[in-house]
Amino acid sequence: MEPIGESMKAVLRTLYHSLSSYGLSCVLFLLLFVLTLLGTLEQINLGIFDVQKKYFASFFLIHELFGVIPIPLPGAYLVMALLAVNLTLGGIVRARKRPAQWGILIGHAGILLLLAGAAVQYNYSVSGNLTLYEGEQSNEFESYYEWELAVADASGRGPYTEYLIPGSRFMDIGSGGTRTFNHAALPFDIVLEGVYRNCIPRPAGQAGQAAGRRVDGFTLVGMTLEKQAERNAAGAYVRIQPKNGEAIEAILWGYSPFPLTVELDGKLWTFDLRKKRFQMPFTVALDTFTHEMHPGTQMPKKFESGVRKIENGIEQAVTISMNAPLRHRGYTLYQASWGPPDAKPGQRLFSVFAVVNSPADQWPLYATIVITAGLAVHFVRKLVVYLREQSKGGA
Amino acid sequence: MTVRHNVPILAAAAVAAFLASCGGEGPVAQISDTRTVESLPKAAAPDATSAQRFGFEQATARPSPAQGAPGAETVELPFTWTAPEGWQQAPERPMRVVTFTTGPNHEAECYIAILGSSGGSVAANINRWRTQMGQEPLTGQKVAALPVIDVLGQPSPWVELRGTFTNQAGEPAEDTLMLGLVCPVETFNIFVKMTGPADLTGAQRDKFLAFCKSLTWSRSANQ
Repeated sequence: MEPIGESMKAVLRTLYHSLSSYGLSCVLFLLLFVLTLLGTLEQINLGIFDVQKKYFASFFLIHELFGVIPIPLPGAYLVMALLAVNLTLGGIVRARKRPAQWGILIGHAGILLLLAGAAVQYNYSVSGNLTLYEGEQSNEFESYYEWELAVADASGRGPYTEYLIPGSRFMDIGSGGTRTFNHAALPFDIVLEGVYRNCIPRPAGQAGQAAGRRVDGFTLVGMTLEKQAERNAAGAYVRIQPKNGEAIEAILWGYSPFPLTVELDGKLWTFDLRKKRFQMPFTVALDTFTHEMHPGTQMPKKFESGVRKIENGIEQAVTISMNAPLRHRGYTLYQASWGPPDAKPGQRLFSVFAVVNSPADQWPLYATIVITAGLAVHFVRKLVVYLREQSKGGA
Repeated sequence: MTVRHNVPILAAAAVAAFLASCGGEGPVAQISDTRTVESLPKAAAPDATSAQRFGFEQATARPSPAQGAPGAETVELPFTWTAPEGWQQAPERPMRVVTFTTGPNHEAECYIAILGSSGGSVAANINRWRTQMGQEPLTGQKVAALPVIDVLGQPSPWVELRGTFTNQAGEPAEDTLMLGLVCPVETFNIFVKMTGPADLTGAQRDKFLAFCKSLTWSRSANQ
């Protein structure tokens, strides 16, 4: 009987050869092509956000061919993870290290940096928007797509502790499901009994065929998902179950101007279903906003915001414009849009900034530089060898 | 390295990925995320009813924006209106004064919007609607020849367009009817626009025109 050690070595050797093989590279690139094709075509039915989640940010998916035939496929996240392993083992570890291969090795390293940047970006970056009127300031921005349920004791003047339930923990409940959330510091349980990704509250008598559960004279009517996912309005039925006392039923809706406010044991508790908020380590104050249109059109020619970046009591004046974002401590604020579009002369304007926080913000640039350097090394060497051979032949 | 060596690797990876994709939270879960803020983005509103929370009624006392959070600019409207019977007011939408829906499943929608001079001329907006309905733009002369009704004391052209409506997101809706009116007032244009399935919206034509004529300057506007 073969010693276990030798068997294990054989398995590892086979694994190593498989993971570093050229054949595996071909299969993975083919899968990426198929996923890109199917994901692009699926945008007829789904918005870009949902397509990205299903095809490119997943390990595994089921594609419905012609809308009927289910085909299981690996997601692009898994494919690119395998590609990174394949490129490392086959394109660098196993590759020949002769001077003739240096350019290729550098290029492969650049591609690995690009893949690593994509992984960091996907797992650790956040983005959203920040809207400020002239004269206002804030250190928070809102996600475009993600929701959260924030519960807070609003009694008193602050500071306030918010208990947060990210949407990733309840959006999967669906309209027929239920899930209970609790916290040792809260005197009640929060029971979500039906969650909609996109819905609108209607007076129960007006909901027609869509009439469902009625709470306080209203019902939530589920709507088809918007292709532009940021337009979806989440909603949920909630039952607040105090540890001692009767339950309170209500509807939460993402576009409510007011949070659900409940008095329990002499305290005011707010329940706010809202776009997920992120805090920045600095504050941005909008002092002035200016804009110009191309004459006779509504096409923006130029718009820019004069802001102050405030951090630890120190203020710095900065101009954010269409091609000149503010970059600070890993955050990038781009001038995205403005309003109101029907502003009267002298009316206060608001500026909308797109905010991105990504540790790998500049990695694609660095990767491109490395890949370019690798190609340059490779082709310059080829050129030199060719010219040398030509001169020998001519001599 | 042959295909038969790669297949078990890919199969194992696929199974692992499938298992990784499964699963979720159980029926009871702990809240684990907290944060401390100086002010709440939306202040408590203990007196707000469900109708007020969902935009069906104006709140009598609107909470002031929390410190450090963007505030809402309110513009006092100089006119009022009378909603036709069978129209339900819908929740507030950005860039609209008011929105109504009608129909068994609220398929038809009518809203009022106000745009300043940057929103374009009467002709430009009518032609924008025509483009949305897949129709050729009109010349200035033809725009001037459109039927008009009196709205807020101003002769206001209106259009009735039937076709495939393409919204701003590029999504088409076939056999749609659009009723649109532009009321030019000083440096502003007031738009009243209704869209919906052709038969349903066509039946609302008279109500649409009555709604437009019901716009009335409020007292404060006349002072």
